[in-house]
Amino acid sequence: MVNAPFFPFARYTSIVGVHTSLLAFVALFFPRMFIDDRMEQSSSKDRPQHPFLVALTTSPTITVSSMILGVVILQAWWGGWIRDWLIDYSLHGSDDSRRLDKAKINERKTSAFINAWAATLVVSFAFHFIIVLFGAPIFSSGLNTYLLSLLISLLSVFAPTYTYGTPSLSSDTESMAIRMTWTRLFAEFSIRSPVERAIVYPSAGAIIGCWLGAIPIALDWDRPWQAWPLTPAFGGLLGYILASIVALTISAITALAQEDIRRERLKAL
Amino acid sequence: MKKTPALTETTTCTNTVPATHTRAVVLIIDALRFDFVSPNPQTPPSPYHHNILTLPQELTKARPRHSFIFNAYSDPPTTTLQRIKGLTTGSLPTFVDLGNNFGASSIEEDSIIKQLGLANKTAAFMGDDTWMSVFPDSFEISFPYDSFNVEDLHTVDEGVIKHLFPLLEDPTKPFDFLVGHFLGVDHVGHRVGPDHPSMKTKLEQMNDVLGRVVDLLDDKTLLVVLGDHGMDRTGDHGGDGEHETSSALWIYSKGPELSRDAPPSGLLQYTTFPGASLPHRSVQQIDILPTISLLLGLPIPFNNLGTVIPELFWRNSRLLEALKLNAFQIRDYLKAYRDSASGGELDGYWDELQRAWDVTLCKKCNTEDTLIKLTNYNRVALSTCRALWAQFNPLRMAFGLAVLGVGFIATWSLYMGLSSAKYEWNAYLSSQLPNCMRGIAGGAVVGLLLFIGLEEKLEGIDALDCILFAAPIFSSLALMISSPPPILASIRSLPIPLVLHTVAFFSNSFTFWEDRLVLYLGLTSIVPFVLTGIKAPTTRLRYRILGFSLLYAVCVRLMAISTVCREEQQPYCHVTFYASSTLPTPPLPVSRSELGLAQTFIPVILRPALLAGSGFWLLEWLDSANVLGDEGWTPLLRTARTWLARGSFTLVFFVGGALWYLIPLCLHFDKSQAKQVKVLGFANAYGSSYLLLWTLAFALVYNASQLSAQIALGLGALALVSFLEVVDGVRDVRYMEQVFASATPSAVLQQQPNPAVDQSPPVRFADIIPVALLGLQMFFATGHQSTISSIQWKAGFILTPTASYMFAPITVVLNSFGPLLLAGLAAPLLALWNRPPMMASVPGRENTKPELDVKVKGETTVAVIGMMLYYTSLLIGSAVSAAVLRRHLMVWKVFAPRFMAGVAGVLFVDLAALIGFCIGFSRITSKITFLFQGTS
Repeated sequence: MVNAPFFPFARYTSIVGVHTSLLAFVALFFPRMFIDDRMEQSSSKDRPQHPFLVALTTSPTITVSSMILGVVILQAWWGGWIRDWLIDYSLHGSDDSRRLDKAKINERKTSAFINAWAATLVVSFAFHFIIVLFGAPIFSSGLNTYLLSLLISLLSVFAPTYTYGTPSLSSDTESMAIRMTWTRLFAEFSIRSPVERAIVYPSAGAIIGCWLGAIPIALDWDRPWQAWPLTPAFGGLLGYILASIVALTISAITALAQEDIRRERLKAL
Repeated sequence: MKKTPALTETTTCTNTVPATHTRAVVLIIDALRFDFVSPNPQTPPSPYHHNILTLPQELTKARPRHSFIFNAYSDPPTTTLQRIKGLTTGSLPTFVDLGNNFGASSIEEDSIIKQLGLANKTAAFMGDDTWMSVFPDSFEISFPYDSFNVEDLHTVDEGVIKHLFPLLEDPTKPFDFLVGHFLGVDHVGHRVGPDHPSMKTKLEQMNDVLGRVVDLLDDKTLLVVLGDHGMDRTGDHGGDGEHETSSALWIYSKGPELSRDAPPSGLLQYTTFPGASLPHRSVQQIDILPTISLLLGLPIPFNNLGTVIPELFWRNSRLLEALKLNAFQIRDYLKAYRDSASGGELDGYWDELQRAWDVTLCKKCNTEDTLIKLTNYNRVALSTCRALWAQFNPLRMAFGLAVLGVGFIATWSLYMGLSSAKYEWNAYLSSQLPNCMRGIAGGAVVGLLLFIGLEEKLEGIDALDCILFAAPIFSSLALMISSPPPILASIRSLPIPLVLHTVAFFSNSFTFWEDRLVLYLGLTSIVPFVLTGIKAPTTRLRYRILGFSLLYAVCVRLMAISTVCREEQQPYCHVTFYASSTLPTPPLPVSRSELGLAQTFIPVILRPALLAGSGFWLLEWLDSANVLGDEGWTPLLRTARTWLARGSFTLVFFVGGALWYLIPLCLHFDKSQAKQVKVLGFANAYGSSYLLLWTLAFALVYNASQLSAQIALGLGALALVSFLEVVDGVRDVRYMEQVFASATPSAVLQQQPNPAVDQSPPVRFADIIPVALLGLQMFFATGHQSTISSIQWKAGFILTPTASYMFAPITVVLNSFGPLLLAGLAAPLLALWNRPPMMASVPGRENTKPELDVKVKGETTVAVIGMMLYYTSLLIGSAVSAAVLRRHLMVWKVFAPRFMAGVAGVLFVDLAALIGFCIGFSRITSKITFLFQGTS
């Protein structure tokens, strides 16, 4: 029998579905918990906006903070699931030995979890610096810029660090291996399995979405939703969601095609 | 776009109304914005320019039937020459006339000055000498003063004051019409802006002068005080911003009452000045002309399009009489215009004009209705002419865009062709050039035939235009057909920053915010280099690429802090450029340790030149900010800095240039050990020598830039050198990858004894983008924007204390477009940096004699063409957007100036790239060939 790679198609699909819907829900409805959506529009009153947007645009700081709150929970869950998948994917042998290996790996789960959060936090500062380099104001609206970088860091850094470990500069074999994996995935974009795709695509999607999200700010439309950092924050989240779905689609098509080829071969035997 | 037709007819009939005044004193206070005299300027008022010139509002309050303040709309372009023409002829000088500001041509049309002459009245003039170039011999008494010395705040004003009062006091009444043109307010605006104590002093002085004039006036003299245009927030003008077009107008009749009570409200227009709480009575600036003419009992000049100001005739039935004369005069003018050669332009509008005219003839209407209808006719005529003279010739535009587009595609084919030809570039070029030549010749013939065949249909286009159009098109087409650009490969390597940058010009918002856009794209363009840096195979390379990328990014971001904001960027932008000009910290740009020539070059030429450049602007700052506290220092400081600048320019241009030309290599031959000759600096023989040439240009631009611009330029130079290191590092990574991918990875380790074939990867378009963007970033960071008012005229006075037609344009161009020149000149560095002069044969022809420049010459050409491509693409973006959006509200404010900046950009980048290639590169190659050809 030809060994099929571990690809939990049904579970993966349902989890991506739930994860992306919940992310969209968080972005659109969480800010409402903190801001009364019957509030008056505060600026640009000559351009009335849809009442749905009022709660999202009244205070960009509160909007992004509440998004972060939701995203923290969702990413923790998603990161855990994707880590399980990666472990299942990389283990071989009989069921018992796999279960033993998995238990061994999971002994370090707590420390990996803490390290991943620490890395996310550290990277958020780096993102802040990069966003300022790209033209965000250096001193004014610093809090908003930081919240944006934290959000993007949560979306793009947490899941990979939790699954692959935090890359470091030390020279022992393990950190070398981690570094090589990171370089392969995030600098060369060479993807070898569906689980890697499920990790890399959304991270890249969040960053590209955030980058594209900066573009509408310059337009002189004078709309409240153009306030910093709403468009890059929503752009990042949208990029993440779209990239998750694209990753799922590509992986599913590849898996189905491989399955088909395998069946054809079996028939031929 | 066309010029106003100059109909040189003169009103000969003596139709006028009875005069109320026999004499008039017209005082023009250059750049007197409406809010400077307004009784309710913005809230909160500025302590430096609001409620300081208070005489007009005091008199208006005390004698409302004698004194009137208006917010006068001055038609753009808001430059003095155009406004003088507008004020005296009542016409609309257009944008094209703008350049005439520097070589003002005299007026041939009818004007109030001409009418004064015909009425045997005596005209006197004092002040801004622009008037003398417009009316060279119309004034019997004249005291002109040089107008272009922006640094001089007082000479013109003191001259006017010196000659004004004796004439006013003279009991023989030697003049009937006096024009006094003060320049101080305008110069203060240009030099330090409206929010500065100097402005307050200046306006106080003007208030005193006006007070004395009012005291000396007799009852038969009319006083008119006006600003020829306004000024924007930074004190500059030229465009059509609200601040620039709102000028002050104050009319005062000491003797007779002009107005009984308020005229019918249907005749009056109101506007609110930005920031003011109340609307104020507004008129067109050209309305002054018919008004003064009739008040003095003169006929209205023939070309006038203004309408008499109702308040000044609102007594008995004088207004109806005046308006009728006014409307008949405009009707006569339009008829003459229609009968003239360019009369066909009016065809589309004639029916509407005729209808507006017909309703004025109604017999049954009451007086008020007739007044409104007459005013309406005048205004319809004015708006028709405004629309007409901002006209476009679609055929010419299509021709221009076609030449640009085809030229761009041809350059692109050339770029792709040269890149793929690699070592065979010479053969490629020699196969293409004859085709292009044939294209030029064929095109010229076709153009001529086209002209002969279609002469009737091509209105306003002559044979030369046709030839100039067809020759480049055919030449480019020949190149495109013989070497078509590979479309698929081009799409795959589509440069995203360039595409976004080009498309951005279709939006006015992105065009105003181009300074931020350039930063954003510049940082984006460095991302691929960072990714390559991360995957670099060796730690040293990784740190080198990442470190220098970071340095580039930080330099570019720091440069972006310095900006002069466009008016449209308010309130989201804070001007940092002038504010920081008081920080006297001249950075000495990178002096990378080079050897040979560099050892003497840097300390002897570069360092003194850069110090002198900073010294000049420090002295300028001392002078303008009055640090020494005494006016007596001014001449001394002026002389000192003029000679400093002259010395520094001479040093760089002549001594530095000659030194570089004679010994362009930065090599050091160490013969201390008897057995061998060490050649140090070999690996970067091309790059370091070329960088020295670049620093010469840099020193020239540096000297022409103000202090904070010098900081930006220093950062720019640092960013450039960091990026060169990044490119070199990435090239090494690509080379290693190439070798690893090849069959014999160990080749990388071999010390090739005979490096017969140079395999290092070629220059890519992605390498060119960050340098091209760096050029624009330097342009913005040195206090420029794509607007006419951001030109730093100050730079015209570097080499001479007064404007000189020889040196001023050079320094102004160096100041404005120097950053782009530097970018163009830096293009060859991308190919030359860290390229050792290896003897190499062409692959596949290893038997032939090895040549030194087989690789670098082709690559330098590619880099230079790539740089030209980038700027040409921007020009196409701005040209197409200006053509498509020509009816857009902001075409004169945003799209047309960006198009002009785009033209200048292509011009200077191409010029610099050619200088870099033809002089810089070929000189270095010949030296290197001379040095190494014999020895190896």
